[in-house]
Amino acid sequence: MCTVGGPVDIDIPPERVKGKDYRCNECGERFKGIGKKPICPSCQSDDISAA
Amino acid sequence: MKYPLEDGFLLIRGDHSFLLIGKAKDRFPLCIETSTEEFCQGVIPGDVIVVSAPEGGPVEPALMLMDLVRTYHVPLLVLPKDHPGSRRISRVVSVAPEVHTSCSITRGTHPEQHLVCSSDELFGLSIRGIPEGLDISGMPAGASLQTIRYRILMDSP
Repeated sequence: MCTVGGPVDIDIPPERVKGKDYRCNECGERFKGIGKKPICPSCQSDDISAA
Repeated sequence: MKYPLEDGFLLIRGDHSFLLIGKAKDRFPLCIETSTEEFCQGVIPGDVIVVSAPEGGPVEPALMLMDLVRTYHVPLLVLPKDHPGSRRISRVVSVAPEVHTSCSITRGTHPEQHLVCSSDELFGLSIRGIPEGLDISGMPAGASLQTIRYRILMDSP
């Protein structure tokens, strides 16, 4: 991911980044994950399921 | 070729540009915020963090950017295409188990996690995290390497 911490000069065309929808089984957070090992952004759990 | 790297960083310098490479030390969600969505990427210890400065300049801002991502896990904010501020940004970062440098992509316009924009002189590098450090292939002949340690010191009142 070619991005910059804080402000970023990246344009992510929605058709090229398709995050998968996940739900955290510990805190219930719903989020879009990318990569092979998504982690819940709220509680950092990897106990997640596809939503 | 393998390069040992513990808690420091590896600086690869060309004549006019550089790459600063470190490894993730924590497991954390790296969130990427666009104007309409949030994507969260799982980062695990040993993943490679590459800050690229295609136009060179001082190393300190790259170290700070590395630290913001690596230690403080700051979300990455995304400007929309053609945003007037994007031309002022001269450092980009990529986080993945393996990162390749490329100069054939338009800076800031590709979402692929395994690519980072670089200058022509540092094009074609492959950087992979391994337990003992980094495995780097495609090192340009004229590039120089330097290990850097970085720490923020604060004076107590």
